Amino acid sequence: MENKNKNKFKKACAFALAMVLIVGAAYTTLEPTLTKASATASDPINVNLSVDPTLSITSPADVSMSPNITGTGASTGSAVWSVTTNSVTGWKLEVAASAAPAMTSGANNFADYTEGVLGTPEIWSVAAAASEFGFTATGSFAEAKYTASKYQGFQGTTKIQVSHSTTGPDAGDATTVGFKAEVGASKSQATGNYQAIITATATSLP
Amino acid sequence: MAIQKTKIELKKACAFSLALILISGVIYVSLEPALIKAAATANDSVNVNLTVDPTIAINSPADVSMSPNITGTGTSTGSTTWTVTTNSNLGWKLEVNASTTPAMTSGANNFANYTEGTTGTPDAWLIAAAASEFGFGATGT
Repeated sequence: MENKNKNKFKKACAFALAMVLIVGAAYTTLEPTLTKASATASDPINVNLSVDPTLSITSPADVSMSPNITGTGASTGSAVWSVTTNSVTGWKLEVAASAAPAMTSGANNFADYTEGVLGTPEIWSVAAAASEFGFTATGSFAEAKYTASKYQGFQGTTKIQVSHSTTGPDAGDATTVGFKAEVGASKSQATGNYQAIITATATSLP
Repeated sequence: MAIQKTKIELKKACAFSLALILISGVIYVSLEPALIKAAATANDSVNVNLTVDPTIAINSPADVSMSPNITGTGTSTGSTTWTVTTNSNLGWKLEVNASTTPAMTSGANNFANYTEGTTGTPDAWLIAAAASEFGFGATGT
C-alpha cells in the first residue's frame, strides 16, 4: 500500500515536472509574442529642405525732372527702389540705360555724364559747351563712391552697381537714384521732351 | 591572342568610363542646386523725363542812318541786320512792324507807306512822280 502511494507520488511528480517543462518550453517560445518585450534599433536620417532666394523690388513712378531747362541750367529728379529678399547673403542693385546716350529726344540728346575717370563718380561739373545727363545714389546701402553728391554717367545697357547689402533677410531696403541734367552756359540744347529709360536690377548675392 | 586581349581591355575601359560618367551625372544632378544656388533677380524700369523749353534771342543792331540825304527828289536806302539765335528745333520767324502809320514821319509831315500793287505782296520798287513813299525789303538765307 505504501509502495502504491509512493508510485502515485512519483507519477504525480513526474507529471508535474513534465508540465513545468512543457509550460517552460511554451513560455520560452511564445514569450516575445505574448509579452512584447521591446527590441530597439536606431537609425537617424537627415530631413533636408532648401529655401531658395526670392527677391523683389518696388516699381516707382516715372520721373519728371524739374525744373524744365530754358536755355541753360540744370534739372534734377530721383527714383527710389526698395529691395525685399529672403536671402541671408544680401543683394545688389544695379542700374542701366536702354541706350547710349541715355537721355534723348528724337535725334537730339544729352551726352552721358563724362566723369574724369570712367566709372568713378565725381562732383558734378559740365563744360559750358556741353549738355550732360548722369546719376548718383543715396541711402544706407548706396555704394560709398557716390557719397558727397558724386555723379557718374550711364554706360548704355551695361549694369552699374549702385548699392548692396551683405545681410538678410531684408524687407524694403531703399536706394534713391538721383538724376541730373545740365545744359552748359554756351550750349544751345534743342527743345524737346527728352526721355531716358532706366532699368534697375536687384539680384540676391550668392 | 594579343588582339583578343586588347579588345577585352578596351571593353573594360569603355565600361569603366561609362560607369564613371553615369556616377558623375547622378552626383551632379543631386548636388547641382546646392552648388550653383541660382540667384533671384528682379527688374523695374522708369522713364526719366526732361523738358527743354525753347529760348530765342536777336541781336540789337545800331540805328540806321539812311543815305544819301534826299535833296529835292530821289531815293535813299539803309539797312539793318537782325540775327536770330534759338534752341527751338521747330525753327523761328522774324517779323517787323512800324510804331505808327505811316511809319516815316517828321512832325506833321511823312512819307506814305509803300503801296505795292497787291497789298502784302512785295513788288519792284516804283514810286509815282507825285508821291513820296517808304518801304522795306528783306535779304538773307
